[in-house]
Amino acid sequence: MRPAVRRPLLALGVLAAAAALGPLAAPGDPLAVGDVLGARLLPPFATDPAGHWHPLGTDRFGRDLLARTLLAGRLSLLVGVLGSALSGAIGTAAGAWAGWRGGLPDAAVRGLADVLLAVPRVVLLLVVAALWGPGVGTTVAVLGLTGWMGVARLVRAEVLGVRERDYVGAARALGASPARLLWRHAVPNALGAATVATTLGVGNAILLESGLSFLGLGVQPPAPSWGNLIAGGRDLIVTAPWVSLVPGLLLVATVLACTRLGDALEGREGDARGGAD
Amino acid sequence: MRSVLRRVAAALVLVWLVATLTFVLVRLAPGDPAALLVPPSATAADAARLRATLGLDQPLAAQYGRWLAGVLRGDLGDSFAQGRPVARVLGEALPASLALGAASLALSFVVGVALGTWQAVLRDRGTRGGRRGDAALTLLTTAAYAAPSYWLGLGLVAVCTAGAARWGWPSWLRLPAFGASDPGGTLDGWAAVQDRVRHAILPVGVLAAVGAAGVARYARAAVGDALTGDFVRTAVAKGLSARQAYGRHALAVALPPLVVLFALALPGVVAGSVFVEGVFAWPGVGRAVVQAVGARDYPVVLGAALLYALVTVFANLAADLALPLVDPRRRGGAATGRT
Repeated sequence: MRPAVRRPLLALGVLAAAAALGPLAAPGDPLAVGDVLGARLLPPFATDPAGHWHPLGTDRFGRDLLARTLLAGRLSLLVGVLGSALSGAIGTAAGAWAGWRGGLPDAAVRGLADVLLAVPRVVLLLVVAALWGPGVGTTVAVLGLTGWMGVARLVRAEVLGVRERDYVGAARALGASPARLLWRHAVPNALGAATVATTLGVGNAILLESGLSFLGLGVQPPAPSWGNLIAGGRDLIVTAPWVSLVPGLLLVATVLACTRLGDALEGREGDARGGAD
Repeated sequence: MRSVLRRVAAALVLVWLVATLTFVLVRLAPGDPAALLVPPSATAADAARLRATLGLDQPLAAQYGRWLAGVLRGDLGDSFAQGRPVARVLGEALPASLALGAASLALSFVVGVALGTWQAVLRDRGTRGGRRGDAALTLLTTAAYAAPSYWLGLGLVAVCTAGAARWGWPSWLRLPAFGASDPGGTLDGWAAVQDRVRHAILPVGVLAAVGAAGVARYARAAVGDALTGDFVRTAVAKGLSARQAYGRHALAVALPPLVVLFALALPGVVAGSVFVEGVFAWPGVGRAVVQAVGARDYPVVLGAALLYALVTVFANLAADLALPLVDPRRRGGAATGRT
């Protein structure tokens, strides 16, 4: 694997492992209200009266911020991956159907994609999440339903190209049903491009989820996500800025790793002359 | 000319479809706006009366027909929560959003194109230092691109209010973090202008930082491709200076994608302002939408969706139509009417 691909993958792996395992190792329950009077709003690197060390400080209820940020990472990563995976699945299905059948299905899929692309995704997310009830389920569903257009376009193009190949004609001559042709020959060809596009969508989905949660329309407290942790520290930004800024750092690191991975997979990082390092 | 008209018509159809989709999404949503509007002591009959006044008791198709007929006459209906015409609610918020968007878009492009061009030239040198500089700038722009605008905004608020006071920064660096102007409104003349500029620095800075990072990523690729083109090498071989070769030839090729990007970036800036306007209490459309959504103020939500769709669709159309004008290689196509 090239270093440009390996490094962000490694970073994402470490982040995911930390989010999965980190909260287990932390002292105290990151959801329970702790020693509010003694331990609230401790700055980073402080030790509370009970002797626990808080490398990133504590929030207004005396809870360890590192543990909460990692715990929030679980939900944020999960929502981002699920939302992007859902959009990848919808996009693959819609693109394959449109490319294979052509005609009316093709026009319908392209029309729907145009309509969805004509409203900024943030606005669409905002309206649907607010009016249909915010929550993890709604957020994943809306991310999936508003993010499939790019994948669909890629898959459609691949399927269109594959249709005319000789081996597809041969399979058809051997009596393969259209469903089998599509499933065994056309879709696997398009899967590579669809997977890359879906992976690229993860960073964006995490960013959108955090935005929705920041506005109170995504993951609902007390369940922590990066967005609602940042929102929770908003009124403390002058007195205890770390409460908002720490979760954001992890969020930026995650989205940065996703973007770098995407750049590497699409071959954008390489030097036009020297190739990749 | 006919093809231009046809594309305008297609764009209008698209806007109509978006309006219809939004209408269905909004009106099929669970929940009752009337329940939020009546006082807690109101009876069920009061709520029913209010629903009838707002037209919410009629069949969906009738409501849709009435709303669409109104839109075609330029009447977006009345806000549920404020009782004023939607056009006035959005119209009052629009100038603030446009000012914010225009300033940050212009700044994004100036900074982004300069940064991206610099990176491409550094990379083109092929030296170790050049590659390192390019890699460092790429990391910087990617990180800025990955940062949520509201988080950057909160960070700037912390630095420019509390931080500036604590670290003893000069007073002109202690920037106001909320609103678009001094709440008292007692200033006039030059002082009022200064006050507005100071209020705009933080929100414009955040939007421009994120925007410039995105533009720089594109500009680096576009200029980089142009610099490695054979025609640039030929121009250099024929004796042109590097400045002439880059400035005249490479930029002419790199420019068209950036013009398109400008139009395509417009909706992003408009949408991105949803968060920034919230953080900085900037009285724009984004903040109005967030408020309307929270209050189930359906007419305002629909009106804003229509506004966003119009901006997006016509920005795309403008990009399509402008491309042949700036890119000689695309001439003779749709823009001259020969399809």
